[in-house]
Amino acid sequence: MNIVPYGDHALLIKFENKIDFEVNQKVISLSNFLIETSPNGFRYCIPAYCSLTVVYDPLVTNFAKLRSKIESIDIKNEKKNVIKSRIINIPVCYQKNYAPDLETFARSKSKSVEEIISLHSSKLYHVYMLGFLPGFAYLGKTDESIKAERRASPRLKVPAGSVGLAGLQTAIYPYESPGGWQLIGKTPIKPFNEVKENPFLFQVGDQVKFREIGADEYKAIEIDIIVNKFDTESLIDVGN
Amino acid sequence: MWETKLEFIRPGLHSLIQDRGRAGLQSSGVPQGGAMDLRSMIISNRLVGNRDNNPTIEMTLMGPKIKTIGDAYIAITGANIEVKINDKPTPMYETLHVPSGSIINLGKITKGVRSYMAINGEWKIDQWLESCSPLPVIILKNLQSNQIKKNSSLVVNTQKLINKKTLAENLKPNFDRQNNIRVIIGPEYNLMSRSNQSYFFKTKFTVHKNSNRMAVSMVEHIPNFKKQKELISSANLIGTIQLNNQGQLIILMNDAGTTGGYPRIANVISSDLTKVGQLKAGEKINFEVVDIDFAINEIKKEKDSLLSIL
Repeated sequence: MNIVPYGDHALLIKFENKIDFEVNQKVISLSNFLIETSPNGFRYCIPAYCSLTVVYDPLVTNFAKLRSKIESIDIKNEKKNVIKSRIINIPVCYQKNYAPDLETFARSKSKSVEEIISLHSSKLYHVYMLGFLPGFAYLGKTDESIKAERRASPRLKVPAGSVGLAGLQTAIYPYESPGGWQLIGKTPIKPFNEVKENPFLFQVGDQVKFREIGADEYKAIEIDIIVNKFDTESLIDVGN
Repeated sequence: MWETKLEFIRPGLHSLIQDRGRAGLQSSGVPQGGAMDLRSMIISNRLVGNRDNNPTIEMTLMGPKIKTIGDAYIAITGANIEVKINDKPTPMYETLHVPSGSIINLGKITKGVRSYMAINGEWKIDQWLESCSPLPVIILKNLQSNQIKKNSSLVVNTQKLINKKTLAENLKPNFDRQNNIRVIIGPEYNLMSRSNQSYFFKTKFTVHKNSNRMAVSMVEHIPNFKKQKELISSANLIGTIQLNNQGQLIILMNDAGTTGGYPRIANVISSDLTKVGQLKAGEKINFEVVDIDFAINEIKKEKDSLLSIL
């Protein structure tokens, strides 16, 4: 852990420089610990794959004080850092009309469409960070055998709910936006719902599981969401 | 107490309702948003007796033409803008009483880029996550009204203001001395070679025409910048200066994405962000490195100077 200044009102905590579950758990533990204990002058945290940005009020504390405070935290012996393990189950339709890149992608990997679906939906993913767009969660890691190149030319419009692959990451586009990921399916679930008090379905540290559904179930869920009859809580399993 | 309605006969080039924005949601990917020249925005509110975080109208390059129904108390600050009330030239930086049925005509901005108009009272507008600042990338249905369009209107619950204020001359921004941007060395500064670093500090950079609320970019590229392989994404802040693969410097601003993978070579100090928010395409700037203690002292000075208009 290496702590450096980041402007006049933030510091950057750098962990081992790699995309790795264990490293990211350390980022999230420390972030949760700081949020819960709120040291003097602390404002908020921005967790990323292997770094944590801590924003503070420079008229209340300073870099040196906050750094030594953070260095003195022994995260392993703190009870407050337990990451609440939530599992969020996301229904995904992988049928042709919902998955514009799936066939081409399967061919490029010399696999059948069914194999790709099975590889994508059998793994439990971890939310490493949110960024790029509001509510956009970076999930990983996917199986090495479905490692994906970004599209040579990004799409100008990726529909909301599209499920994409890039590198060893997978993600759901929260709303229509440009994007270069390989689109292999679509979910009717909204990871970002602006009218809700907490508009974001995902938070760092969550686990995500994709479940294959057919077009009929997709449409049924879609309608339930429109008429406000869908219970988002039903997607979430709270672990211990 | 009464209701005053403002009707926008002409919306201006890019007029947005802005407050301080929403800090602390970057962990969910939400940019902070808010006024690009926070100082001018706060001053405008103080001149009309509002709390600092009251909404204001941020006007860019060309202001709107507004008809008022009901008396209003307003103040206009920030970039130098032509102000006419019922065809009469009117000063900036003071509390103005605008009688019902007036036409407020805000013309061209002649120095700087963004002006602010505060109106006394409680604005009847939509908020989302404790801010009225509209997001750039997605058009949130409930904040569309905060981007001012032709024939749109705004209702404010207002009251008579007895205490009129004028901002002291020495507290007004000087747009002829905006070109020195002070920075603190950033986390990836050392990815630049010695000669890159000296170019960064010695060059007069030109502000690129593609600058906006997301980023203020420089025209000149740092020569012979050794292209980096993409860094693992990490947080950006307002004022973070990124160096992209082409060697171009990009100062990230209020509406920028919350994370990125380019080297962060420096951060603009908090009290110079207002200068960056007022930079016009074609203007020349230079970067001067300072230490954190200096930057904090500037924040304190700034805070003290604003106390006089409480």
